[in-house]
Amino acid sequence: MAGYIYLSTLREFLSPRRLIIWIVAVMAVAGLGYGWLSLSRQLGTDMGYSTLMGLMGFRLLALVAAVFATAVIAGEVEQKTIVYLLTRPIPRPVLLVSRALAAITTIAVIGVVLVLVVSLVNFGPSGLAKGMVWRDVGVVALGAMAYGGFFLFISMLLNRAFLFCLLFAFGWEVFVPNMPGDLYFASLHSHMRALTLHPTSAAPSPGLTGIGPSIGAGPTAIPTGVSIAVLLLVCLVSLGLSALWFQQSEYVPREDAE
Amino acid sequence: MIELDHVSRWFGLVIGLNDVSAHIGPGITALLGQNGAGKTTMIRMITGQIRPTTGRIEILGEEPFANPNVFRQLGYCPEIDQFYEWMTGREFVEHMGRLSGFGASEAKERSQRMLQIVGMADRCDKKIAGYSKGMRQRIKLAQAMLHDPKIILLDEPLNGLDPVGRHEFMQVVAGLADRGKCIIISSHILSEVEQLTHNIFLLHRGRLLATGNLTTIRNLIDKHPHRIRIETPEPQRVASLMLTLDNVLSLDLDRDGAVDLEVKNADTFYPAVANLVLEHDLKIHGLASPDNNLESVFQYLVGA
Repeated sequence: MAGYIYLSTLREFLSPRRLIIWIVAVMAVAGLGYGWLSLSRQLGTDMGYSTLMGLMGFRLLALVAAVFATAVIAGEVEQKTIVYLLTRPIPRPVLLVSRALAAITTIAVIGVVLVLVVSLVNFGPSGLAKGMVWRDVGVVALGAMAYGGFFLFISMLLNRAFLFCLLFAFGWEVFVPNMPGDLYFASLHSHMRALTLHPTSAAPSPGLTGIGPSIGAGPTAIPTGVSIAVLLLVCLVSLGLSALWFQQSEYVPREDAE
Repeated sequence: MIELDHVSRWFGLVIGLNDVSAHIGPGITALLGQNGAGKTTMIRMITGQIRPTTGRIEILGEEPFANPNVFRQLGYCPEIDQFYEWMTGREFVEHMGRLSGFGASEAKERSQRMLQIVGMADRCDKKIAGYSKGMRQRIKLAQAMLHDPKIILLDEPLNGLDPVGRHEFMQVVAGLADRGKCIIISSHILSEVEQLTHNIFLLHRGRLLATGNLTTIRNLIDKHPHRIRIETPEPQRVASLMLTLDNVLSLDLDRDGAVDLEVKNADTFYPAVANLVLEHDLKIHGLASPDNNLESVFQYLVGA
Protein backbone atom coordinates (compact mmCIF):
# COMPACT_ATOMS: atom_id res chain seq x y z
CA MET A 1 0.00 0.00 0.00
CA ALA A 2 2.74 2.47 1.02
CA GLY A 3 4.64 1.60 -2.16
CA TYR A 4 1.64 2.27 -4.35
CA ILE A 5 0.92 5.61 -2.64
CA TYR A 6 4.58 6.62 -3.02
CA LEU A 7 4.76 5.69 -6.69
CA SER A 8 1.40 7.16 -7.66
CA THR A 9 2.23 10.43 -5.88
CA LEU A 10 5.66 10.50 -7.48
CA ARG A 11 4.08 9.95 -10.89
CA GLU A 12 1.74 12.86 -10.22
CA PHE A 13 4.51 15.17 -8.97
CA LEU A 14 6.83 14.29 -11.83
CA SER A 15 4.15 14.66 -14.49
CA PRO A 16 4.97 17.07 -17.32
CA ARG A 17 2.20 19.51 -16.32
CA ARG A 18 3.85 19.96 -12.92
CA LEU A 19 7.47 19.80 -14.08
CA ILE A 20 7.33 22.19 -17.00
CA ILE A 21 7.65 25.28 -14.81
CA TRP A 22 10.69 23.83 -13.05
CA ILE A 23 12.36 22.92 -16.31
CA VAL A 24 11.91 26.56 -17.32
CA ALA A 25 13.26 27.73 -13.93
CA VAL A 26 16.35 25.50 -14.16
CA MET A 27 17.00 26.73 -17.69
CA ALA A 28 16.60 30.32 -16.50
CA VAL A 29 19.15 29.76 -13.72
CA ALA A 30 21.50 28.15 -16.22
CA GLY A 31 21.03 31.02 -18.67
CA LEU A 32 21.58 33.62 -15.98
CA GLY A 33 24.65 31.77 -14.80
CA TYR A 34 26.05 31.64 -18.30
CA GLY A 35 25.47 35.34 -18.80
CA TRP A 36 26.91 36.26 -15.45
CA LEU A 37 29.99 34.10 -15.94
CA SER A 38 30.60 35.70 -19.32
CA LEU A 39 30.68 39.09 -17.59
CA SER A 40 32.76 37.94 -14.59
CA ARG A 41 35.52 35.84 -16.08
CA GLN A 42 38.00 37.02 -13.41
CA LEU A 43 36.09 34.99 -10.81
CA GLY A 44 37.09 31.68 -12.34
CA THR A 45 34.74 28.77 -12.97
CA ASP A 46 34.96 27.24 -9.48
CA MET A 47 34.06 30.49 -7.78
CA GLY A 48 31.42 31.22 -10.40
CA TYR A 49 29.80 27.82 -9.83
CA SER A 50 29.96 28.27 -6.08
CA THR A 51 28.40 31.73 -6.19
CA LEU A 52 25.67 30.65 -8.57
CA MET A 53 24.74 27.66 -6.41
CA GLY A 54 24.68 29.79 -3.26
CA LEU A 55 22.84 32.67 -4.87
CA MET A 56 20.30 30.74 -6.90
CA GLY A 57 20.70 26.98 -6.69
CA PHE A 58 19.93 26.47 -3.01
CA ARG A 59 17.26 29.21 -3.10
CA LEU A 60 15.50 27.49 -5.97
CA LEU A 61 15.67 24.24 -4.01
CA ALA A 62 13.82 25.92 -1.13
CA LEU A 63 11.19 27.24 -3.54
CA VAL A 64 10.71 23.79 -5.09
CA ALA A 65 10.43 22.32 -1.60
CA ALA A 66 7.78 24.88 -0.63
CA VAL A 67 5.69 23.99 -3.68
CA PHE A 68 5.87 20.20 -3.37
CA ALA A 69 5.79 19.89 0.42
CA THR A 70 2.62 21.96 0.61
CA ALA A 71 1.08 19.82 -2.15
CA VAL A 72 1.37 16.68 0.00
CA ILE A 73 -1.70 17.38 2.14
CA ALA A 74 -2.54 21.10 2.02
CA GLY A 75 -2.93 20.90 -1.75
CA GLU A 76 -5.39 18.01 -1.40
CA VAL A 77 -7.31 19.93 1.26
CA GLU A 78 -7.55 23.01 -0.96
CA GLN A 79 -8.73 20.92 -3.91
CA LYS A 80 -11.11 19.09 -1.53
CA THR A 81 -9.90 15.76 -2.93
CA ILE A 82 -8.55 14.89 0.55
CA VAL A 83 -11.91 13.26 1.27
CA TYR A 84 -11.10 10.41 -1.14
CA LEU A 85 -7.83 9.72 0.66
CA LEU A 86 -9.18 9.95 4.20
CA THR A 87 -12.06 7.53 3.67
CA ARG A 88 -9.90 4.69 2.32
CA PRO A 89 -8.51 1.95 4.57
CA ILE A 90 -5.05 3.48 4.84
CA PRO A 91 -3.52 4.41 8.21
CA ARG A 92 -3.07 8.17 8.08
CA PRO A 93 0.64 8.15 9.03
CA VAL A 94 1.35 5.72 6.17
CA LEU A 95 -0.53 7.97 3.76
CA LEU A 96 1.32 11.06 4.92
CA VAL A 97 4.83 9.60 5.03
CA SER A 98 4.44 7.88 1.64
CA ARG A 99 3.31 11.09 -0.01
CA ALA A 100 5.98 13.11 1.81
CA LEU A 101 8.71 10.77 0.58
CA ALA A 102 7.42 11.20 -2.96
CA ALA A 103 7.58 14.99 -2.53
CA ILE A 104 11.11 14.80 -1.12
CA THR A 105 12.18 12.59 -4.04
CA THR A 106 10.73 15.11 -6.49
CA ILE A 107 12.48 18.02 -4.76
CA ALA A 108 15.75 16.08 -4.80
CA VAL A 109 15.39 15.14 -8.48
CA ILE A 110 14.81 18.76 -9.49
CA GLY A 111 17.68 19.86 -7.22
CA VAL A 112 20.10 17.31 -8.68
CA VAL A 113 19.15 18.28 -12.24
CA LEU A 114 19.78 21.90 -11.27
CA VAL A 115 23.23 21.09 -9.88
CA LEU A 116 24.18 19.16 -13.01
CA VAL A 117 22.90 21.87 -15.37
CA VAL A 118 24.72 24.63 -13.46
CA SER A 119 27.92 22.55 -13.44
CA LEU A 120 27.60 21.96 -17.20
CA VAL A 121 27.17 25.68 -17.80
CA ASN A 122 30.23 26.46 -15.67
CA PHE A 123 32.60 23.64 -16.38
CA GLY A 124 31.25 21.96 -19.47
CA PRO A 125 31.27 18.13 -19.53
CA SER A 126 34.38 18.10 -17.30
CA GLY A 127 32.16 19.28 -14.44
CA LEU A 128 30.91 15.72 -14.01
CA ALA A 129 34.41 14.75 -12.89
CA LYS A 130 34.52 17.34 -10.12
CA GLY A 131 34.12 16.20 -6.54
CA MET A 132 32.56 19.56 -5.65
CA VAL A 133 29.65 18.90 -7.99
CA TRP A 134 28.94 15.40 -6.72
CA ARG A 135 29.20 16.66 -3.17
CA ASP A 136 26.53 19.23 -4.06
CA VAL A 137 24.33 16.44 -5.37
CA GLY A 138 24.46 14.90 -1.89
CA VAL A 139 23.92 18.26 -0.20
CA VAL A 140 20.89 18.94 -2.39
CA ALA A 141 19.43 15.54 -1.47
CA LEU A 142 19.89 16.31 2.22
CA GLY A 143 18.49 19.81 1.71
CA ALA A 144 15.46 18.31 -0.07
CA MET A 145 14.82 16.11 2.96
CA ALA A 146 15.20 18.94 5.47
CA TYR A 147 13.23 21.56 3.55
CA GLY A 148 10.64 19.02 2.44
CA GLY A 149 10.04 17.72 5.96
CA PHE A 150 10.03 21.15 7.56
CA PHE A 151 7.69 22.73 5.01
CA LEU A 152 5.37 19.76 5.28
CA PHE A 153 5.13 20.34 9.01
CA ILE A 154 4.40 24.04 8.43
CA SER A 155 1.65 23.04 6.00
CA MET A 156 0.14 20.79 8.69
CA LEU A 157 -0.02 23.62 11.18
CA LEU A 158 -0.94 26.68 9.17
CA ASN A 159 -3.43 27.77 6.57
CA ARG A 160 -1.84 29.47 3.56
CA ALA A 161 1.29 27.48 4.38
CA PHE A 162 2.90 28.26 1.04
CA LEU A 163 3.26 31.93 1.99
CA PHE A 164 4.89 31.04 5.30
CA CYS A 165 7.24 28.63 3.52
CA LEU A 166 8.24 31.40 1.12
CA LEU A 167 8.82 33.74 4.06
CA PHE A 168 11.06 31.13 5.63
CA ALA A 169 12.92 30.40 2.38
CA PHE A 170 13.50 33.99 1.33
CA GLY A 171 13.38 35.76 4.69
CA TRP A 172 14.72 33.61 7.45
CA GLU A 173 17.10 31.67 5.24
CA VAL A 174 18.58 34.83 3.72
CA PHE A 175 18.96 36.93 6.84
CA VAL A 176 19.68 34.48 9.65
CA PRO A 177 22.98 33.18 8.17
CA ASN A 178 24.17 36.80 8.09
CA MET A 179 23.20 37.58 11.66
CA PRO A 180 25.92 38.08 14.25
CA GLY A 181 26.94 35.35 16.66
CA ASP A 182 25.88 31.74 16.28
CA LEU A 183 22.44 32.44 14.88
CA TYR A 184 23.48 31.04 11.50
CA PHE A 185 23.23 27.63 13.13
CA ALA A 186 19.44 28.00 13.07
CA SER A 187 19.36 28.16 9.29
CA LEU A 188 19.09 25.10 7.07
CA HIS A 189 20.91 27.01 4.36
CA SER A 190 23.94 27.45 6.64
CA HIS A 191 24.16 23.71 7.18
CA MET A 192 23.89 23.05 3.47
CA ARG A 193 26.65 25.61 2.76
CA ALA A 194 28.80 24.05 5.47
CA LEU A 195 28.58 20.70 3.70
CA THR A 196 29.67 21.95 0.30
CA LEU A 197 33.25 21.98 -0.93
CA HIS A 198 32.84 25.40 -2.47
CA PRO A 199 35.86 27.70 -2.54
CA THR A 200 35.60 30.79 -0.37
CA SER A 201 36.60 34.18 -1.68
CA ALA A 202 38.88 36.39 0.34
CA ALA A 203 37.02 39.41 -0.92
CA PRO A 204 33.37 39.66 -1.79
CA SER A 205 32.48 39.33 -5.44
CA PRO A 206 32.34 42.55 -7.40
CA GLY A 207 28.85 43.95 -7.40
CA LEU A 208 27.69 41.62 -4.70
CA THR A 209 29.14 43.26 -1.63
CA GLY A 210 27.06 43.18 1.49
CA ILE A 211 25.33 39.89 0.77
CA GLY A 212 28.11 38.10 2.59
CA PRO A 213 28.04 34.48 3.53
CA SER A 214 24.74 33.72 1.94
CA ILE A 215 26.36 33.73 -1.47
CA GLY A 216 30.02 33.20 -0.99
CA ALA A 217 31.87 32.16 2.11
CA GLY A 218 29.60 29.76 3.96
CA PRO A 219 29.56 29.07 7.68
CA THR A 220 32.40 26.61 7.38
CA ALA A 221 32.76 26.53 11.16
CA ILE A 222 29.99 23.93 11.42
CA PRO A 223 31.47 20.43 11.40
CA THR A 224 30.25 18.22 8.55
CA GLY A 225 28.83 15.58 10.87
CA VAL A 226 26.83 18.14 12.79
CA SER A 227 25.32 19.60 9.64
CA ILE A 228 24.36 16.18 8.31
CA ALA A 229 22.85 15.30 11.67
CA VAL A 230 20.92 18.57 11.86
CA LEU A 231 19.48 18.23 8.35
CA LEU A 232 18.48 14.61 8.92
CA LEU A 233 17.05 15.41 12.33
CA VAL A 234 14.97 18.30 10.99
CA CYS A 235 13.56 15.95 8.36
CA LEU A 236 12.81 13.08 10.72
CA VAL A 237 11.38 15.19 13.54
CA SER A 238 9.24 17.18 11.09
CA LEU A 239 7.91 14.00 9.47
CA GLY A 240 7.18 12.45 12.85
CA LEU A 241 5.37 15.51 14.17
CA SER A 242 3.47 15.89 10.89
CA ALA A 243 2.31 12.26 11.09
CA LEU A 244 1.14 12.76 14.68
CA TRP A 245 -0.68 15.95 13.76
CA PHE A 246 -2.25 14.40 10.66
CA GLN A 247 -3.51 11.42 12.66
CA GLN A 248 -5.42 13.71 15.03
CA SER A 249 -6.66 16.42 12.70
CA GLU A 250 -9.94 16.88 10.90
CA TYR A 251 -9.88 18.01 7.30
CA VAL A 252 -13.19 19.44 6.23
CA PRO A 253 -13.71 22.24 3.75
CA ARG A 254 -14.90 25.04 6.03
CA GLU A 255 -17.47 26.43 3.62
CA ASP A 256 -19.07 22.99 3.32
CA ALA A 257 -19.52 22.48 7.05
CA GLU A 258 -23.20 22.27 7.86
CA MET B 1 -24.63 -1.40 11.97
CA ILE B 2 -24.50 2.31 12.83
CA GLU B 3 -25.12 3.65 16.34
CA LEU B 4 -25.27 7.30 17.29
CA ASP B 5 -25.54 7.98 21.00
CA HIS B 6 -26.36 11.58 21.97
CA VAL B 7 -24.06 12.91 19.30
CA SER B 8 -23.47 16.64 19.05
CA ARG B 9 -21.03 18.58 16.95
CA TRP B 10 -20.14 22.24 17.24
CA PHE B 11 -18.27 24.34 14.70
CA GLY B 12 -17.10 27.17 16.92
CA LEU B 13 -20.32 28.81 18.11
CA VAL B 14 -22.43 27.13 15.45
CA ILE B 15 -24.04 23.79 16.19
CA GLY B 16 -23.92 21.34 13.31
CA LEU B 17 -25.64 18.42 14.99
CA ASN B 18 -27.53 18.56 18.27
CA ASP B 19 -27.91 15.55 20.56
CA VAL B 20 -28.78 12.99 17.91
CA SER B 21 -29.31 9.36 18.88
CA ALA B 22 -30.16 6.78 16.27
CA HIS B 23 -29.67 3.20 15.15
CA ILE B 24 -29.36 2.54 11.44
CA GLY B 25 -29.51 -1.02 10.17
CA PRO B 26 -29.49 -2.78 6.78
CA GLY B 27 -31.63 -1.42 3.96
CA ILE B 28 -32.03 2.08 2.62
CA THR B 29 -32.34 4.98 5.03
CA ALA B 30 -32.95 8.48 3.77
CA LEU B 31 -31.44 11.41 5.59
CA LEU B 32 -33.71 14.32 4.83
CA GLY B 33 -33.20 17.93 5.66
CA GLN B 34 -32.88 21.36 4.16
CA ASN B 35 -29.49 22.82 3.35
CA GLY B 36 -27.72 23.43 6.64
CA ALA B 37 -29.81 20.88 8.54
CA GLY B 38 -26.78 18.81 9.52
CA LYS B 39 -26.96 15.97 6.98
CA THR B 40 -23.42 16.38 5.73
CA THR B 41 -22.10 16.83 9.26
CA MET B 42 -23.76 13.57 10.28
CA ILE B 43 -22.38 11.78 7.22
CA ARG B 44 -18.89 13.13 7.84
CA MET B 45 -18.99 11.85 11.39
CA ILE B 46 -20.19 8.43 10.28
CA THR B 47 -17.44 8.33 7.64
CA GLY B 48 -14.82 9.18 10.26
CA GLN B 49 -13.76 12.50 8.79
CA ILE B 50 -14.73 14.47 11.86
CA ARG B 51 -15.33 13.56 15.51
CA PRO B 52 -18.40 14.33 17.56
CA THR B 53 -17.89 17.10 20.12
CA THR B 54 -19.95 15.06 22.58
CA GLY B 55 -21.57 11.65 22.35
CA ARG B 56 -20.42 8.50 20.67
CA ILE B 57 -20.61 6.97 17.21
CA GLU B 58 -19.99 3.31 16.49
CA ILE B 59 -19.82 1.70 13.07
CA LEU B 60 -19.89 -2.10 13.22
CA GLY B 61 -18.77 -1.78 16.85
CA GLU B 62 -15.84 0.58 16.25
CA GLU B 63 -15.31 4.32 16.43
CA PRO B 64 -14.93 5.55 12.86
CA PHE B 65 -12.57 8.53 13.13
CA ALA B 66 -9.42 7.78 11.09
CA ASN B 67 -10.10 4.06 11.53
CA PRO B 68 -8.99 1.92 8.53
CA ASN B 69 -10.96 -1.09 9.89
CA VAL B 70 -14.17 0.89 9.50
CA PHE B 71 -13.19 2.23 6.07
CA ARG B 72 -12.80 -1.33 4.77
CA GLN B 73 -16.55 -1.77 5.33
CA LEU B 74 -17.64 1.67 4.29
CA GLY B 75 -18.18 3.27 0.88
CA TYR B 76 -18.66 6.99 0.59
CA CYS B 77 -19.99 9.06 -2.29
CA PRO B 78 -19.29 12.64 -1.22
CA GLU B 79 -21.34 15.66 -2.15
CA ILE B 80 -18.31 17.54 -3.42
CA ASP B 81 -17.73 17.68 -7.15
CA GLN B 82 -13.94 17.67 -6.98
CA PHE B 83 -11.76 15.04 -8.66
CA TYR B 84 -8.28 14.56 -9.96
CA GLU B 85 -9.38 16.20 -13.16
CA TRP B 86 -6.38 15.04 -15.20
CA MET B 87 -7.32 11.38 -14.68
CA THR B 88 -9.80 9.46 -16.79
CA GLY B 89 -12.82 8.02 -15.02
CA ARG B 90 -11.31 4.55 -15.27
CA GLU B 91 -7.97 5.69 -13.85
CA PHE B 92 -9.73 7.41 -10.96
CA VAL B 93 -11.80 4.39 -10.00
CA GLU B 94 -8.77 2.07 -10.35
CA HIS B 95 -6.73 4.47 -8.21
CA MET B 96 -9.40 4.30 -5.52
CA GLY B 97 -9.30 0.52 -5.83
CA ARG B 98 -5.54 0.47 -5.28
CA LEU B 99 -5.97 2.78 -2.28
CA SER B 100 -8.50 0.30 -0.94
CA GLY B 101 -5.75 -2.29 -0.88
CA PHE B 102 -6.42 -4.25 -4.07
CA GLY B 103 -3.65 -5.36 -6.38
CA ALA B 104 -3.42 -3.86 -9.87
CA SER B 105 -5.30 -6.64 -11.67
CA GLU B 106 -8.07 -6.90 -9.08
CA ALA B 107 -8.53 -3.12 -8.97
CA LYS B 108 -8.78 -3.12 -12.75
CA GLU B 109 -11.28 -5.94 -12.83
CA ARG B 110 -13.47 -4.45 -10.08
CA SER B 111 -13.34 -1.00 -11.69
CA GLN B 112 -14.55 -2.40 -14.99
CA ARG B 113 -17.45 -4.14 -13.24
CA MET B 114 -18.45 -1.02 -11.28
CA LEU B 115 -18.19 1.21 -14.33
CA GLN B 116 -20.54 -1.13 -16.16
CA ILE B 117 -23.00 -1.08 -13.26
CA VAL B 118 -23.12 2.72 -13.19
CA GLY B 119 -23.35 2.93 -16.97
CA MET B 120 -19.96 4.50 -17.57
CA ALA B 121 -18.07 1.62 -19.18
CA ASP B 122 -18.22 3.15 -22.64
CA ARG B 123 -17.30 6.70 -21.57
CA CYS B 124 -14.77 6.18 -18.80
CA ASP B 125 -11.61 6.61 -20.88
CA LYS B 126 -12.03 10.38 -21.29
CA LYS B 127 -10.53 12.87 -18.84
CA ILE B 128 -12.80 13.66 -15.90
CA ALA B 129 -12.34 17.38 -16.63
CA GLY B 130 -14.67 16.93 -19.60
CA TYR B 131 -17.41 15.04 -17.74
CA SER B 132 -20.93 16.30 -17.18
CA LYS B 133 -22.34 16.50 -13.66
CA GLY B 134 -24.22 13.25 -14.17
CA MET B 135 -21.10 11.42 -15.35
CA ARG B 136 -19.22 12.68 -12.31
CA GLN B 137 -21.96 11.42 -10.02
CA ARG B 138 -21.74 7.98 -11.61
CA ILE B 139 -17.96 7.87 -11.17
CA LYS B 140 -18.33 8.83 -7.51
CA LEU B 141 -20.89 6.08 -7.07
CA ALA B 142 -18.58 3.55 -8.75
CA GLN B 143 -15.68 4.34 -6.41
CA ALA B 144 -18.00 4.08 -3.39
CA MET B 145 -19.14 0.56 -4.33
CA LEU B 146 -15.79 -0.69 -5.59
CA HIS B 147 -14.66 -2.55 -2.48
CA ASP B 148 -18.07 -4.14 -1.83
CA PRO B 149 -18.59 -2.37 1.51
CA LYS B 150 -21.31 -3.29 4.01
CA ILE B 151 -22.25 0.36 4.51
CA ILE B 152 -22.62 2.89 1.69
CA LEU B 153 -23.19 6.59 2.33
CA LEU B 154 -24.42 8.69 -0.56
CA ASP B 155 -24.44 12.43 0.02
CA GLU B 156 -26.93 14.09 -2.35
CA PRO B 157 -26.23 11.45 -5.02
CA LEU B 158 -29.09 12.38 -7.33
CA ASN B 159 -27.85 15.92 -7.92
CA GLY B 160 -27.20 16.43 -11.59
CA LEU B 161 -28.56 13.09 -12.75
CA ASP B 162 -31.03 13.14 -15.63
CA PRO B 163 -34.31 11.14 -15.31
CA VAL B 164 -32.79 8.08 -17.00
CA GLY B 165 -29.74 8.33 -14.77
CA ARG B 166 -31.93 8.63 -11.69
CA HIS B 167 -33.90 5.58 -12.65
CA GLU B 168 -30.72 3.57 -13.26
CA PHE B 169 -29.21 4.85 -10.04
CA MET B 170 -32.29 3.88 -8.04
CA GLN B 171 -32.17 0.39 -9.52
CA VAL B 172 -28.51 0.04 -8.52
CA VAL B 173 -29.22 1.24 -4.98
CA ALA B 174 -32.26 -1.00 -4.63
CA GLY B 175 -30.14 -3.95 -5.79
CA LEU B 176 -27.51 -3.18 -3.16
CA ALA B 177 -30.16 -2.94 -0.45
CA ASP B 178 -31.56 -6.31 -1.52
CA ARG B 179 -28.10 -7.76 -0.87
CA GLY B 180 -28.30 -6.64 2.76
CA LYS B 181 -26.20 -3.50 2.50
CA CYS B 182 -26.83 -0.58 4.79
CA ILE B 183 -27.35 2.43 2.55
CA ILE B 184 -27.76 5.99 3.73
CA ILE B 185 -28.87 8.58 1.20
CA SER B 186 -29.01 12.25 2.04
CA SER B 187 -31.28 14.58 0.15
CA HIS B 188 -33.26 17.75 0.57
CA ILE B 189 -35.93 16.64 -1.88
CA LEU B 190 -38.63 14.50 -0.34
CA SER B 191 -40.09 13.14 -3.57
CA GLU B 192 -36.62 12.09 -4.68
CA VAL B 193 -36.03 9.63 -1.87
CA GLU B 194 -39.67 8.67 -1.51
CA GLN B 195 -39.25 6.37 -4.50
CA LEU B 196 -36.30 4.65 -2.86
CA THR B 197 -37.31 4.13 0.73
CA HIS B 198 -39.95 4.86 3.31
CA ASN B 199 -37.43 4.72 6.14
CA ILE B 200 -36.39 8.28 6.83
CA PHE B 201 -34.53 10.49 9.29
CA LEU B 202 -35.68 14.09 9.27
CA LEU B 203 -33.05 16.59 10.34
CA HIS B 204 -33.83 20.21 11.02
CA ARG B 205 -31.30 22.77 12.28
CA GLY B 206 -29.07 20.03 13.61
CA ARG B 207 -31.78 18.15 15.47
CA LEU B 208 -33.31 14.83 14.57
CA LEU B 209 -36.91 15.92 14.12
CA ALA B 210 -38.54 12.64 13.20
CA THR B 211 -37.53 9.11 12.35
CA GLY B 212 -39.40 6.16 11.01
CA ASN B 213 -41.74 5.41 8.17
CA LEU B 214 -42.45 8.10 5.62
CA THR B 215 -46.13 7.13 5.52
CA THR B 216 -46.45 7.92 9.22
CA ILE B 217 -44.91 11.31 8.65
CA ARG B 218 -47.11 11.87 5.62
CA ASN B 219 -50.18 11.08 7.74
CA LEU B 220 -48.93 13.50 10.35
CA ILE B 221 -48.68 16.12 7.66
CA ASP B 222 -52.14 15.29 6.34
CA LYS B 223 -53.68 16.14 9.69
CA HIS B 224 -52.74 19.72 8.96
CA PRO B 225 -54.38 21.90 6.29
CA HIS B 226 -52.68 21.66 2.93
CA ARG B 227 -52.45 24.70 0.65
CA ILE B 228 -53.25 24.24 -3.03
CA ARG B 229 -53.32 26.81 -5.82
CA ILE B 230 -55.39 26.29 -8.98
CA GLU B 231 -54.77 28.46 -12.02
CA THR B 232 -57.80 28.71 -14.24
CA PRO B 233 -59.48 31.11 -16.72
CA GLU B 234 -62.83 30.49 -14.97
CA PRO B 235 -62.05 30.98 -11.27
CA GLN B 236 -65.59 31.58 -10.03
CA ARG B 237 -66.91 28.39 -11.62
CA VAL B 238 -63.99 26.39 -10.30
CA ALA B 239 -64.41 27.91 -6.83
CA SER B 240 -68.10 27.03 -6.64
CA LEU B 241 -67.40 23.44 -7.63
CA MET B 242 -64.53 23.12 -5.17
CA LEU B 243 -66.82 24.14 -2.34
CA THR B 244 -68.85 21.00 -3.00
CA LEU B 245 -65.88 18.90 -1.79
CA ASP B 246 -65.68 17.94 1.87
CA ASN B 247 -61.88 18.34 1.92
CA VAL B 248 -61.95 22.09 1.32
CA LEU B 249 -61.59 24.09 4.51
CA SER B 250 -61.23 27.57 3.02
CA LEU B 251 -61.10 29.20 -0.37
CA ASP B 252 -59.75 32.48 -1.68
CA LEU B 253 -60.08 34.02 -5.12
CA ASP B 254 -56.81 35.56 -6.12
CA ARG B 255 -56.57 38.85 -8.05
CA ASP B 256 -54.60 37.01 -10.74
CA GLY B 257 -57.53 34.74 -11.37
CA ALA B 258 -56.15 31.82 -9.37
CA VAL B 259 -58.01 29.94 -6.66
CA ASP B 260 -56.18 29.35 -3.38
CA LEU B 261 -57.50 26.52 -1.24
CA GLU B 262 -56.82 25.06 2.15
CA VAL B 263 -57.72 21.39 2.21
CA LYS B 264 -57.52 18.48 4.61
CA ASN B 265 -56.58 14.93 3.57
CA ALA B 266 -54.80 16.01 0.41
CA ASP B 267 -54.45 12.40 -0.74
CA THR B 268 -58.22 12.13 -1.31
CA PHE B 269 -58.56 15.68 -2.57
CA TYR B 270 -56.50 15.24 -5.74
CA PRO B 271 -58.60 12.34 -7.16
CA ALA B 272 -61.75 14.30 -6.35
CA VAL B 273 -60.48 17.31 -8.31
CA ALA B 274 -59.66 15.04 -11.24
CA ASN B 275 -63.24 13.76 -11.24
CA LEU B 276 -64.67 17.29 -11.12
CA VAL B 277 -62.52 18.35 -14.06
CA LEU B 278 -63.72 15.42 -16.15
CA GLU B 279 -67.38 15.70 -15.15
CA HIS B 280 -67.68 19.47 -15.65
CA ASP B 281 -65.08 19.96 -18.35
CA LEU B 282 -63.21 22.50 -16.24
CA LYS B 283 -60.33 24.45 -17.78
CA ILE B 284 -57.39 24.26 -15.41
CA HIS B 285 -54.01 25.60 -16.47
CA GLY B 286 -52.11 24.70 -13.35
CA LEU B 287 -52.42 22.97 -10.01
CA ALA B 288 -49.64 23.30 -7.48
CA SER B 289 -49.11 22.96 -3.80
CA PRO B 290 -46.52 25.13 -2.10
CA ASP B 291 -46.68 22.57 0.70
CA ASN B 292 -45.26 19.73 -1.37
CA ASN B 293 -41.72 20.42 -0.32
CA LEU B 294 -39.55 19.56 2.60
CA GLU B 295 -39.66 23.03 4.07
CA SER B 296 -43.39 22.79 4.64
CA VAL B 297 -42.94 19.36 6.20
CA PHE B 298 -40.60 20.90 8.72
CA GLN B 299 -42.96 23.78 9.30
CA TYR B 300 -45.75 21.36 10.09
CA LEU B 301 -43.59 19.25 12.35
CA VAL B 302 -42.12 22.12 14.34
CA GLY B 303 -45.49 23.85 14.42
CA ALA B 304 -44.15 26.98 12.77
